[in-house]
Amino acid sequence: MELKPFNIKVEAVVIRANGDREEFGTIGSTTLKDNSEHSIDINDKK
Amino acid sequence: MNTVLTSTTRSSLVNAITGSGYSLSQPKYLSWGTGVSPALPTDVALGNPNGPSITGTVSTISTVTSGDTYFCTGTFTSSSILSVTEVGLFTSQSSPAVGSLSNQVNPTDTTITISGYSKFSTSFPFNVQVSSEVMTVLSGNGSNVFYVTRAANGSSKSTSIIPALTPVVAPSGNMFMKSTFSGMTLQSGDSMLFNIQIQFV
Repeated sequence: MELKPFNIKVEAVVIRANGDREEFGTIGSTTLKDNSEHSIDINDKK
Repeated sequence: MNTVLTSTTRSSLVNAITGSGYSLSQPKYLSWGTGVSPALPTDVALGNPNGPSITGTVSTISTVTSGDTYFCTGTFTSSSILSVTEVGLFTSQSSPAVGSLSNQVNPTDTTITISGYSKFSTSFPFNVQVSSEVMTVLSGNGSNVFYVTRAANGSSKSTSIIPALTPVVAPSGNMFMKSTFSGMTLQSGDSMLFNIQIQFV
């Protein structure tokens, strides 16, 4: 039996000096179960 | 690229469950950096932190069940052009000590020559992050050499040369969690907001 005790999600938003807001969504996530990571292309902005 | 709870965090959480006592302070301090090695559970610091940490805003939120998720958010502002590649949650706000290798480190070396020696503690031993390897600094020569134990904290000894100029980082407090990701380029004056969620399932 595999354990999956937690999920981590890291989201990022860049706020440019001119006030423009760029939401990148989830840039990193993982579970202890498989130590996997699921990054997205940072150009794949929402 | 990777996202992990560190081995220290994992054992402390187990201790909390077993009643042995949770030993970490609240991980509410965020640090960002430009390190190039993927996060590993054995890491003790960011690969190349950029400036001091900031105090995040912490709350408990509900993702699936009531109160199942720790949430920490914080915003950094860049004072130069940066390619941000990593973020970490720490239990202490003080700035990490950061130097760099003056010479390459070979796999069999047990001494490292560094610049920035005076930034580090004179109280030995302590751990430093050097690329993906953790080394325990046993002593120093007072100016530019550390005598180290390789492959500390369960990390693997680098089987190849660690090049000169690689950052040498002594953490401030315990690193609770670390995430590495594709570089995000910021210009001076740009800000970056991180939302970190740890959901128990």
